Amino acid sequence: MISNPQTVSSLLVAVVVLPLVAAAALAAPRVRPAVLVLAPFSALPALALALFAPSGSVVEIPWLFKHTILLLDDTGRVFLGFTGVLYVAAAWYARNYLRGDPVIVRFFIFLLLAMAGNFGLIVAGDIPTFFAAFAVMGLCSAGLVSHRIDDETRRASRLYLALTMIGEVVVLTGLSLLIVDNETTVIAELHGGGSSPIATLLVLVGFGIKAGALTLHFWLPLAHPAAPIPASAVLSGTMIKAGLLGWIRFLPLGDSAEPALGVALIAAGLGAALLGAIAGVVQANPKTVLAYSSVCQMGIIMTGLGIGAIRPDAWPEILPAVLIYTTHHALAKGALFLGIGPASGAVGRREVLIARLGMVFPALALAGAPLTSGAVAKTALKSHLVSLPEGWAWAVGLLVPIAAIGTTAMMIRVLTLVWPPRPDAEKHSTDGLWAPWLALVGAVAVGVWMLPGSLDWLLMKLSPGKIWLALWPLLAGGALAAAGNRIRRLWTVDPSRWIPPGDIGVLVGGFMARVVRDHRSPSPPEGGHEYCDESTEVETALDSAVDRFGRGLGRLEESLASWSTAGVALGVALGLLGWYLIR
Amino acid sequence: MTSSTFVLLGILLSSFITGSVIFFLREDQHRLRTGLNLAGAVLKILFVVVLLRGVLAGQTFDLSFTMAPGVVVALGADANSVLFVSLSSVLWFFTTLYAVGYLEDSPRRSRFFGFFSLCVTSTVGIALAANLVTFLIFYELLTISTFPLVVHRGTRKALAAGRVYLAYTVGGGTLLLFAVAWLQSISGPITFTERGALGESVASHPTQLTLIFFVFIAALGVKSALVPLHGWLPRAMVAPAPVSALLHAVAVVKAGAFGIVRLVYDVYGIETAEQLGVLRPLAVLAGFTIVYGSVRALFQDDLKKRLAFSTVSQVSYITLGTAIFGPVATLGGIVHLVHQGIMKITLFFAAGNYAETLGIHRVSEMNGVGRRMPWTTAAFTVGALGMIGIPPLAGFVSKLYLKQGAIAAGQSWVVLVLAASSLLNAAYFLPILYRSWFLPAPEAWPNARDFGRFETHWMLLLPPLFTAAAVVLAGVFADSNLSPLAWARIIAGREYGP
Repeated sequence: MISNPQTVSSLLVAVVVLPLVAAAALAAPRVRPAVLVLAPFSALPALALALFAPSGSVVEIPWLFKHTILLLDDTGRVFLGFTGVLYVAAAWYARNYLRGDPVIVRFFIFLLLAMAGNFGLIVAGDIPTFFAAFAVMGLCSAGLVSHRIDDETRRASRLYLALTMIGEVVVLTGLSLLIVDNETTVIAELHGGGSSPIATLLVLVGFGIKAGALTLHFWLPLAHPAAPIPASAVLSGTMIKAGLLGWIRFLPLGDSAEPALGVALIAAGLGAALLGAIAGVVQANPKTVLAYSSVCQMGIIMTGLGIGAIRPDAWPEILPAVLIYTTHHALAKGALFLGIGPASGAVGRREVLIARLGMVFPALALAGAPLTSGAVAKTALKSHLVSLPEGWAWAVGLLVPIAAIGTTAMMIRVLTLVWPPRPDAEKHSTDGLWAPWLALVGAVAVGVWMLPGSLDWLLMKLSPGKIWLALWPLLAGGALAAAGNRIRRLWTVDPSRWIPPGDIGVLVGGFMARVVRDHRSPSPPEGGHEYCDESTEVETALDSAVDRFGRGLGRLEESLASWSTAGVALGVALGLLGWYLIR
Repeated sequence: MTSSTFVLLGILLSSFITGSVIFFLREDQHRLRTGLNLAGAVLKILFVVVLLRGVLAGQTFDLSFTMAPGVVVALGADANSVLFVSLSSVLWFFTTLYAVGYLEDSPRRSRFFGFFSLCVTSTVGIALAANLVTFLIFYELLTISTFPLVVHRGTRKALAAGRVYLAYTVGGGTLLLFAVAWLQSISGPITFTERGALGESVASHPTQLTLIFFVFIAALGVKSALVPLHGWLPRAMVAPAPVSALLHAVAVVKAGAFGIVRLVYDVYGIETAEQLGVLRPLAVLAGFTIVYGSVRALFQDDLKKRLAFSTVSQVSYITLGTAIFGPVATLGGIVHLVHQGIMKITLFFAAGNYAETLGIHRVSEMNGVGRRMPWTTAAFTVGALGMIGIPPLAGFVSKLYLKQGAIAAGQSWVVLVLAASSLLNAAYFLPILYRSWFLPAPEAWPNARDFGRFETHWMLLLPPLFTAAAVVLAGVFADSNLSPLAWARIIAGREYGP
């Protein structure tokens, strides 16, 4: 344990400052190679705090920004823990994955800034600092998503950026309301009521975009796969959890019973769990499947928050369960993403065996197989689901198993998509990818057990009846996946056409992309790196409508600015004035 | 001569005298001209520092003489003046440095720098004016001294833009004269006074005062580019980059916005204005301008034109903050006077660098420019992100206070305007950033010049780097005692009674 308060304070500052310093250092060409090697270590202060520091430390810096407060609480420690582990693994992995990439430095600058933002929002004790960190993380993660410049990536990153900006504006508006309503910028002073319903709604929606809540989730299956693998891992593993943390910090959970909020959270959560499971199993890209699985899992976590909103008295027990589930999902999802690289490029019997084992383990955990972190997480959260009000119990009873079956099927789908050795896969170097990946797989094995209470949940699960409860969705999911494979092969259908990645977002996203894109870009220059993506008819129509609007506005302004208009306006004004004066 | 007179005159004359001398220099007296320019700029900053310390210590500065019976020219320094005068003198220094680098080898530099200095003299005059008449005089001088700068290039396009500029600003100036005369005929000579200078006439002539207010707004709205009086600004972008910086950040647009601030707080007084019910229409007009300017910016491919419409939008934040009753909104508006200045000047400096170094004038030519000119583009990025309101940059601080102020004043529609504006800002700035950092550069730039060691001439590179740093510092250290926010807090404190 680190007991010296001075050390804890410096670590709290270092958590944010170290990645910033590393990002700044990348501007100097001479130290770049060293910084790229050392980048993973900039997440170490976060890990040190998570593992060894006592909760409750506070640092106040009155002259910084809007009176910055950094603090470490129980929730923050858990978040710092899994976030730190993921960034260490992702940065380590990225260095090797992007070796030789001409823009690796840009990637790392964005990664390190996003890391600083991600840590910053976890330790932020005041609203402006939280928002600043949140916004920096969002913007820089867009830089990670748009790493490549092919058309598909561009569409995805435009959508991601648009949604991120909308989310940030909504969040900021909600937080401004909270500040005015509560007359404080300190997060700890918010609880205890005083938030208006509209503020709650804005917080719910704003962070919901980040967390991939139902109807706001559609960017996620498009953006996460567009990013390079290590970026997908942090996006799906930790950044969507920032939305969750936003909810935990700013929703009136545990203060008073908020049935409307609870119902909204549960409905959106169950809906996301169901939709994620259904849309995920048919996808053809393993990263898209994993992204849908994230939508599904975040939905289950949301359901937990919803119960907390309905039953404030139970929130102190629900929160640890939520934290266990979050940690479990972050680590397992990160491991699965990172595994795609080594698994799809594995050669030789030994590598193939390791790759298979390394993918199967986190997949089993996510599916909730007995004795894994997933089993614990599910038991912990489900024990609270029973305390739901009447009308919801059946919905939960029906939908949660479906989500579990769907998750299993999705995991099998991912495994079949990357199952090594793949004859069709282009062989790529997996040098240096194994160690960070396997380290993360190791973290999946031990991570959750470090959280308080997790072992109790494990023991509870060991009775035969409970084991059956955990096993049947696994078996059902397996059967479903097998049947699906069979159908796919027999009828040579491509189910991913039934539900395109991004589902409802394909339409909405097309519209957003139109609005966000650069208007009036003249015809593409030779070499053709202009926007030349295949547009649907709707998109083209929207495009020309928006452009017509812009041109029309310009013409209108021209005509209003003419001398005759000005003369008439002046005449009218003078006439009115004269009338007033001689009246 | 007392020290107070000396400081006030020093601030005015440090640019007036150098400017007057520069007119008579030969074109080839490059060093002397640059030396005079920079010496004047540094001297002015020194005087402003003395003024700042004096005002902080509670010293009063005044200087007045009677020009004609009943017409008193008076200079003074209250918290508002100090804010504006520090902003314009510091930015003038950077603009001068930039202009020297920018206009190297171009003809008629003596004429240019002469008017350049007169322009800033008028601006500090506007800042230091202690009564309405003095304000009016310097306001008109500004119009006259800026015109030669707008048409400096002498091209047909520049002359056309100059004509439009004159038509708008002289019209506005005439209206201002009319408004001043009308107001003084009712209320007597107006000396700027915190919390209002109208006295008893408020009770006796409420309707006329309401009318006069809007005549003032119509007059000041020209320079502060309130829609529908903004038409001159996007056209004036044909002027050289340092002039654009001057128009958009240091002098002209700022003078209009500052005039509105003066009108609301120190002529009418915010409480009186609220009683008369004139604030709401002004706020609506400002809100409309904010959204309209952003929408128009979205459709511009010419970089400077996009920035110009962005100015139309951003300057109205100041007006909006002024038009919402409540100290928090006031704080947001006043602090944006400074924040908009440093952000927009950074953007124009960078735009000028692209034009001078690579011949880039259009957004669609900016692909991959970040790798060719990383420092300039970094500065541009900071300015653009600040404009969007990304924390912890300066623009975020303004927006945070404007939002809170609007909510506290019960005007939630303003929050929607601000949210829409942030999104629109993002929609017209982020694609530029994407192009410059992510897309591959073309094989050849439109008109590239080589500057050896640095990506461009050092005199062009340093100013945007400094102002970009200021954008970062003003945000990151917003709550320190030296930030623009701290000073705006003093002003806001004084404009609302206990």
